Amino acid sequence: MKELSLVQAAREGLNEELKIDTNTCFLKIENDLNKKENRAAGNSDPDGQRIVNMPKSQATIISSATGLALIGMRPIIELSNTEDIYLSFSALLDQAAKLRYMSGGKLQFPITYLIIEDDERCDFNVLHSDSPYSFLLHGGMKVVIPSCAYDAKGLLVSAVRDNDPVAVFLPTRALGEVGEVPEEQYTIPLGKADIKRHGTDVTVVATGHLVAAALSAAEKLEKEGVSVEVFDVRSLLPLDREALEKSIAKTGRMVIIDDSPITCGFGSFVASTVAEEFFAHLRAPVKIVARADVPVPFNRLLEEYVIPSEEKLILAIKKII
Amino acid sequence: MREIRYLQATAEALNKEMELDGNVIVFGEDVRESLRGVTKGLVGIYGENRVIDFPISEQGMIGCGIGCAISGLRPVIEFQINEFTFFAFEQLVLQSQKLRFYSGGKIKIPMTFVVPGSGARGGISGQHSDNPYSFLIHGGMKVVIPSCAYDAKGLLVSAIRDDDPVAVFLPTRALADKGEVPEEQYAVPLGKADIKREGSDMTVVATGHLVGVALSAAKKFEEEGVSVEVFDVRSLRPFDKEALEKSITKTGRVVIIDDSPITCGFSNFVSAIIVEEFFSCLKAPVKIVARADVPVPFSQPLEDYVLPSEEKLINAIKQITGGA
Amino acid sequence: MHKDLDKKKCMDMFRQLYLTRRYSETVVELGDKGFIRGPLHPGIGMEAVCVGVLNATNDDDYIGVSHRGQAASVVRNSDIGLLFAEQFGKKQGCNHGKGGTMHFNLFNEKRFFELDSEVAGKVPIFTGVALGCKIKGLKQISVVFYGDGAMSEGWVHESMNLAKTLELPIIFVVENNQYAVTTKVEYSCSAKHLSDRAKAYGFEGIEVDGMDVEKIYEAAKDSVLKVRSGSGPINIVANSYRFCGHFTAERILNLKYRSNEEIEEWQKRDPVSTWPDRLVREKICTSQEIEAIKAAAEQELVLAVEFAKAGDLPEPQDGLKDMYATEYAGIPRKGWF
Repeated sequence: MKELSLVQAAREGLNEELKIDTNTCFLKIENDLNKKENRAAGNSDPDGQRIVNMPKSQATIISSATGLALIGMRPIIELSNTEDIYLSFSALLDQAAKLRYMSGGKLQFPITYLIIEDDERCDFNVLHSDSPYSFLLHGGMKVVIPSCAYDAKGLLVSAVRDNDPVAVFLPTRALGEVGEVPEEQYTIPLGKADIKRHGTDVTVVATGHLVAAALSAAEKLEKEGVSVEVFDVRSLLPLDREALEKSIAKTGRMVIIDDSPITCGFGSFVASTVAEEFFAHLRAPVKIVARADVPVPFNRLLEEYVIPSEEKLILAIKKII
Repeated sequence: MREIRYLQATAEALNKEMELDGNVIVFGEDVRESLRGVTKGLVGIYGENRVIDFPISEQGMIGCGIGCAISGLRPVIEFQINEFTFFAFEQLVLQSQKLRFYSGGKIKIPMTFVVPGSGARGGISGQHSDNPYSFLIHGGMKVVIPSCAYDAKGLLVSAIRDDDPVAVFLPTRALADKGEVPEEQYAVPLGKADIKREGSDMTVVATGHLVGVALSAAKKFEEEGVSVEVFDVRSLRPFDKEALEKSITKTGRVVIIDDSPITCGFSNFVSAIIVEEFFSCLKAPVKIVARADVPVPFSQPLEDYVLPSEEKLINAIKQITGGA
Repeated sequence: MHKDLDKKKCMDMFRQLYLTRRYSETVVELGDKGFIRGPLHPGIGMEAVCVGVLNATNDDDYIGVSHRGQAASVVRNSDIGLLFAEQFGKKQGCNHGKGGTMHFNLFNEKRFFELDSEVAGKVPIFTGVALGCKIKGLKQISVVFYGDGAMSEGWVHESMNLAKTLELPIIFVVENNQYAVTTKVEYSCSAKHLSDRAKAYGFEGIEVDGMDVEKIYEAAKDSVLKVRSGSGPINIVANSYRFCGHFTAERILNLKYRSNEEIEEWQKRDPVSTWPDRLVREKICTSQEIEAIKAAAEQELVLAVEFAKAGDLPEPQDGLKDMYATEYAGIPRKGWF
């Protein structure tokens, strides 16, 4: 065991996979030198061939990963900011996510997209502040978001070994989270959520760095006699519906806190699943704490206003208790 | 009043807007010859400067449109196929949608994206059968889907006159529908739903051609004594929450039928609003009938299986009204 | 005649041209009769490009064909019954009924596919295949076909730049049929010659007569040798023409973007007629041998269509299968209960 930050843990898992599986290859799109220390980029270069620096042509590079997968490789691509998803939207959702199905199941595309969400903070480029994973969910792509170092390594390894396209989002505000990480390679299966804190009065479904916000809110509310269960989604698609049902059956109340825009976002996916399939367990409205449907503004106060936070979570919980 | 086809109604709307406002211009691929029918004859009337064929460079085309819009023109861009949304996504969702916000409201981008023949046309398979409006909604864009010829003309007019980017999806399965359409130009406001059929036992929230499907199902249920209210969304964003509240308060039961994939689709958006804000009115689970989370397959039995249909809607209604 | 084109090869190329042409015509007929759904995009008139290029490749080279590239199936000796069955939506089809027209996949079996029908969508994918060949040190090369209209797509330019920067073993083949639906190539392409674009990216661009299968073969053979030796990408622009419309619906749309005179002018150079005429004229083979090839091709078509007709439609629930290679409970979601 050693103490690593979330991004270091992801890097460790990635580098080890590159070493042990000679079918993997790693594509780096030219990165901002300033952000070098934050990159999970593979620093190992196992045989000098399988790590490729690519010029900044996002759409083509992501599409070329589909070609690499076609001839039997297992490509991993690191996207340096969320804007890359927009530029390569077609390559991700019209190609990688669809072609296996359209081939009648004969082809497979074991690709991993590693997205390190860029800074939401106001001292960085506002056009790089989006949180676009809900788009990928709508397109049927598997998506995982670790909240801590231990999950980061395990989920990344599972993503690489999965035989379909998987997008791994490392949230900016959790990159520095330090935690204990086993030295050996291990997997955390997709489709398995994790109850980070057990409770009985309300379930808080949280993703990424918002898990920490949920845990902090839970501690505060415990002093007021409210028992909060913190449900760390980890795997957004496939979603652990069994665990979700178990939790809502126990508490009867749910707040979802998620970092994508509220309309048609991950929060609405969970809420509608509960409203349709687990309705009988509900004793109160489902609340969603998500980003407002606006871009992230530059000014810090405005920014704080539109993004999800612990304060907003606590308010939402209090409304349904 | 005369009856004309849905497609003709949209062509009429566009033609008249170009006549009334010299700033309206049309971009697209093969819009001069008009492959899709919405822009037929326009180049002959308004000239090559106002009806422009682009090479197959969608990002470039939308980018040009943004530039024209910022400098005072009012571009109407036709997507020859629905999947342009994917190709030009960055320009649509990052640039055209956000620039006004980032300018602090100083610039306006009055663009209209027209998608004629959206959705599954039958036998055209996974990459040409999408209804990508849920992506645009999540990206913050205004989106309208008319269900009939009357709404088609009025909504397109409103979309063109709106000072923000608005995407107008014209569902393939509605294009040939005939309906009464006034000769004069008129606008159907954004943000206003339409109750196409009043009812008291349950609400069916429907989009596009599925409104017709809902009306057909409603008729069948009437004979069995179940009164179904058909809520035609029309404007997906901005969404008429007030009208939804009024309907749910009255009926207490709801099925949402929508032609985009279920996960994080428009159906999820409506369901989330209901379970969050109108929970106390609900007498039953909120049911959804949407596309499966797969690309549209080619073979007919497979295609029919994954798309929303009247049969599935009827089953969903029965489940929450306890049969009838 | 090119030194590699002996009698056997010449006759085989005629067989491929003729069978592809008859295949396309049969597909249109079957579409009209209701056996094949959806819009159809035959490549009538353009057969020489695919036939010429693919005869210059090895069977294990990777090929991405365009939506008019059914000749690939014929050249690679794949059972065309699989294509018909797919277009009939039968589960015996090459994509089990999920892909249909414009989406044939025979990648694992014969190293080619049409699968992705996005405009120029295969260009970056096959650039990736070429990258994979380089990383793995394979002898194979990658060949990708696309049209003059598709040349304007951003990622074609990105792919060409990438291919040269990384010195990838790929041949970009442009099937210039003069029109992108109704838009003339002179209107949509700023370069005087389409092959100038490759030069701008630092590699060779060759223009060739797309109606002359020998000239295409010659250009392709040279290019394949160079690319396989590691000298980086090459672009071949084949100037061709489609006698049919962009798609079958055009017959009722009354579009007026080109004249009948223009079509007739190009039809005089129809490779499916000019090639056998030349073979007989130069006494490479006899007209009886030509007729025998035609008869055999017709028979092959009959059997292929019968195979398709006899096939089974898939079960509706199969619509939810094959989305994921690594499966998990609950996905893909159904969308209804």
